[in-house]
Amino acid sequence: MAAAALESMKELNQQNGLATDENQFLTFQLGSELYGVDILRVQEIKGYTAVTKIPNTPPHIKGVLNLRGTIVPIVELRTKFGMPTIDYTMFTVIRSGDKLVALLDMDRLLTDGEMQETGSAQAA
Amino acid sequence: MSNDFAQFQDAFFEEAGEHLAVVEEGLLALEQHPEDLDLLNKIFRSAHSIKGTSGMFGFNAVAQFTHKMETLLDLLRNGQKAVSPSIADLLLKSTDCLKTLIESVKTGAAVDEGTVQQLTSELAAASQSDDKPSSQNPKATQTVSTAGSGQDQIYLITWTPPEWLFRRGLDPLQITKELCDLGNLTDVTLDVSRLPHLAEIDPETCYLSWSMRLTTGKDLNVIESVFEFVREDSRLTIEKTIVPGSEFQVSSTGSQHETRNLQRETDDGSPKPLGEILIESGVVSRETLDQALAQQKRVGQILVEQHAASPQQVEQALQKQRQQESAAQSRKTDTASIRVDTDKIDKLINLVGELVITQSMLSDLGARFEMSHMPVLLERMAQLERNTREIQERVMSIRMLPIGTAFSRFPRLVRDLSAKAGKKIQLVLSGEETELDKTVIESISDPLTHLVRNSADHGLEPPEERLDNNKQETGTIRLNAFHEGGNICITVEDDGRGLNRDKILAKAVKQGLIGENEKLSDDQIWLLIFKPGFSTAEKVTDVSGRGVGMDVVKRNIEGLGGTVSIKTRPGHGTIFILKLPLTLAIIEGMTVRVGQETYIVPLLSILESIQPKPGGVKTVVGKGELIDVRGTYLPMVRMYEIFALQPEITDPTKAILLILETEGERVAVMVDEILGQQQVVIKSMEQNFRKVEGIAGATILGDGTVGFILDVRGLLEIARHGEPVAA
Amino acid sequence: MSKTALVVDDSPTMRQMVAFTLKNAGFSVMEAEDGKDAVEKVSTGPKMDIVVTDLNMPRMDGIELIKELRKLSAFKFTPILMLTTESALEKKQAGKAAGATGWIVKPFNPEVLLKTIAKVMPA
Repeated sequence: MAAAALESMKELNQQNGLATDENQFLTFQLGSELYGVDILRVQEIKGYTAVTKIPNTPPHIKGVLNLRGTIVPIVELRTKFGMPTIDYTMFTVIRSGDKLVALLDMDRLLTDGEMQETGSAQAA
Repeated sequence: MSNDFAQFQDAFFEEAGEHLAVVEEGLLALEQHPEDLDLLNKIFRSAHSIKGTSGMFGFNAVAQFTHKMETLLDLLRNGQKAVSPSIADLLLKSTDCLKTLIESVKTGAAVDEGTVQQLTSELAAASQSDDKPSSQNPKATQTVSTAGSGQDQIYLITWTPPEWLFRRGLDPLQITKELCDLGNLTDVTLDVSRLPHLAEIDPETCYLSWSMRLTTGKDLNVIESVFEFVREDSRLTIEKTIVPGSEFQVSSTGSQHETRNLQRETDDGSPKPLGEILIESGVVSRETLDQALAQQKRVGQILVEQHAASPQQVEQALQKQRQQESAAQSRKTDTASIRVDTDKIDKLINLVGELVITQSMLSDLGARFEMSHMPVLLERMAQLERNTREIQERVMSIRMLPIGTAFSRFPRLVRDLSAKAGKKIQLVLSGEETELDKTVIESISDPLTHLVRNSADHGLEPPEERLDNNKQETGTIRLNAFHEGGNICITVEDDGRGLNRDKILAKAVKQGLIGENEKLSDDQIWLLIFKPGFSTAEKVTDVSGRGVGMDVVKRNIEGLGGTVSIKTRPGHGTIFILKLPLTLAIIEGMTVRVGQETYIVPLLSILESIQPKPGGVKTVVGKGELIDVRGTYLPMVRMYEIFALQPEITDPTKAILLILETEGERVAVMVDEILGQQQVVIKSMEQNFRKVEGIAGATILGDGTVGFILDVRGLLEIARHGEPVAA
Repeated sequence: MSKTALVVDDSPTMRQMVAFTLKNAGFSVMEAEDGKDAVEKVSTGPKMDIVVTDLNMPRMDGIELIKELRKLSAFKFTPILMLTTESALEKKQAGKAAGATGWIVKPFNPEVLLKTIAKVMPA
């Protein structure tokens, strides 16, 4: 199932002109689903720091953080998708278009290869 | 031709802009002081710089046109022609034209060729009329025939350089070396016959002559060019010896007495328009030419007449063309550069050097820190703070320009306005040296222009009316800039009729801006003229009075974090006062706390902070809470409610109320505590997120976390309409 | 040690272009914005292998600058090139009389500039 997810992800990225077969992904699990982000889009991974809440924004916008002088919004997908939240230890700062966003959910980072294995293990 | 220089084009455009301003200002001042030679020299130099530099980039149209202006200016400064109003006018028009020419090479915008040609010939005419020969150099034609290249020829060269050769930094060896590079140099003979007795020798004088034989395939003029810098002052002969296959003997002689110029004299580099040539040769008269030119049609019109295209199609195409032009222009104007004095940069580099030293001292101290080192630590921290502050100031000062650059367009504007409106207007500028941020200067230019136009058009009375009211016939508009606290104030003042209270009220009622019986203070009435759609001009002129503008002025100024206020006295005049932050990048802010959150309130909008007395807060149905501030009731806003925060204090009498003002409206904002006052660097929220209602931007606080800067206007909006729907 | 050049022009663009070309050719360049600035800058002692100067400048023009430089022993025999426009021939004569070594006619391109400099610089 995970392998299938990876394939469809690659396809999507290819359609968007974002990726080739060679791409590596940072993957993470939300509920039973596996998601991935093209590793080339990952700006940096940053330890958890104090967050400033933005007033009058939806709950999945957790606030902003200071990335060496740049203000970066923090998004939590678990809240967005109505899933139970967990304790976070890091931010993954991702480039989306010309903007940066810090994702909270990426706690288990797997490489492409690792995930293939996981995928086949699950399939077995 | 000069691809390597292309990277300097932006610098040229910026510099050209400055020169144009100098020329324009100078010409305007020249009208007052036509005899001022320094002024003329200054104008000439700027024109000359534009000419020289534009040529470097191959902007020939600019170079040629400037050359025309320069020629006339040169005659003026040499006293060969006198400055007359018509000449000043012509030069001003030419400056405008030059501006469009430069703009055109910069953005590709179209140029009105007709105007260029018209002015070119007018400039030429003005430079010619009382014809003293402007150039002492007769035009020389190149008569040297060039021998066929490729085939080796033998030249006999004799050269006696001028005695002062060395004193001009010239080296004869250098010349023989260069000749060697051209071919085979043989039989070099040094003639020392003119050498005086040793006791009489002046070591700086050249007594020597040479003769030599050069075998080369190069042309005669290539050989001559080796002697370029000395041939006019030397005795030089270059003779081609008879070589089989060659029929000519060419000799070229130069001496101090006979000066032959290889330099082509181009007083007039550009070809003349056909019409001008026809007039000069007497074929047609100017009237005939003008009539013929008037009959010239535009391509679109011809196509329509030939039924090749419909008028609509042509109009559409024209519109498209205009769009493309403006698109091209806006693309070009995006890149902004700033010229910085090298001194400023050198100082900055020194300061960074100091910072590095302080940093290394600190890390050294940190590596082996003991409590006994505390005093040293504190001292170095203080040094670090000094370094940082100084660097901050210096860096900010790089962006600072004197406001004079924004003022400089007004003498011309006022001159034109006074001619158009039939009023006598005198413009007085002061505080031009006051420095502020480049972006602020650029953004206030338009609002200021509108205010000056407004003063000229509405503020000042016609001369008769002024005389009737025992005022001087000439009205005065004063522009002043000065620092006040951390802000800059710019005032636009006229000594005209002042604002008319009743007229404004009547108009506002008619426009439905206020109710019939609404009671307003004078200050509130004056602010009505900033409402969109408000205009009291009885006749609509092309200067102002179209009902657009004053509201835009206010919006622009507030967009910059500034304020506009008005002072007026009927019969005595009006002052518009603009208060602006020095820079857009840093604001002076008050840090306040609400619950766990820290917010920054721009100091400019804070009037005072108070703690209300018990019973001072009243709740009025439909209007929310009001607070009594010395007899005036102001709306009160609880910040924790607006921003959905967890407050520490909910009782207004225990909290702090900040009285804020924006666009003439006052509001009391309730916070838990005031933490202090500090400068904060504004960071964009939009860069990675979006605009958030009630927040003007973000900043990094002392502990490295993010703090938000309050947008007072937005806060009021939220208070009025309830919480915005979260996106 | 690299050759040193003094570039004098009141137009920052021109000055930058000349300085840029010379730096690319391996010179260390000192810039001055007019004659006065140049005289002040050389008064502290640096010796120059070549001077390239504009003629029309405020405060002290190129002709005056050349005269002033020739008075200094360090600049007595230094090649001095003036930047001139085609139409300023009388200026060229005045420049020569003041002691200019040669001239470069505007507009010029980098090759012409470097070639002219090579022409007057002792190897």
